[in-house]
Amino acid sequence: MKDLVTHMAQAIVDYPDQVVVTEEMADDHIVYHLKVADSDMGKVIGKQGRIANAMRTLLKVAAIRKGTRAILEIGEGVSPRGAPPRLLDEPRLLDEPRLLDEPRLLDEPRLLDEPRPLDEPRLLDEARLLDEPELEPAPEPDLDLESDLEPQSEL
Amino acid sequence: MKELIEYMARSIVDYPDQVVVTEEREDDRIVYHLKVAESDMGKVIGKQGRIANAMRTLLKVAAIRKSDRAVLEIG
Repeated sequence: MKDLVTHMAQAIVDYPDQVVVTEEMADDHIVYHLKVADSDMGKVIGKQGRIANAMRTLLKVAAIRKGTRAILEIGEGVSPRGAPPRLLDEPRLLDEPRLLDEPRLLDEPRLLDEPRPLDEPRLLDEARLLDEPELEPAPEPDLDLESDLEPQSEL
Repeated sequence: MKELIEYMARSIVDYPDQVVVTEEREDDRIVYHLKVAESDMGKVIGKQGRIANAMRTLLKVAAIRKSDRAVLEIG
């Protein structure tokens, strides 16, 4: 699978000799780190990650065939020291959802509490009014049954 | 590019030795015909053509790098 990643990357970059793939076992899956020349980063990722996702799709199937799971990570290959600072971007993603959650908690209870007490009694009253007339014509079928019995008694 | 298709296909099929790729010049583009074992057809196409399209995406980029155009046909 390492060769597959290498082959795919080398076919699409400008500097195939700078393609480096390293593999790392992690619990139940293998993580492949793909490193390419800085100027080739856009090529292996592609618009909206299309190329990266195409490679991931094929890698996933190749992994399934071998009864394992594989993940493809793409990073620049200039120096291994250059990679860790980029990982610091992740905590930023964790902070943003917190800011979004706060206004939601304030808005939701207000909207949910007010309509409920007003709607529920109305629905119950209407239903009661509808049930009562239904009960009144109910005896009519009983009369029909009696009339049905009459011809039988004649026989 | 032919090697790329062969490599991608061989990594995902059950019968890699039955993978055959032929190329054919057609005006301004190259048409690649990928043939695999019948039981492997589903594997190289994938759900809603996902695998086939992933291979096409990579082939397209590989072709652009060589200032060419490539088409992948399966079957």
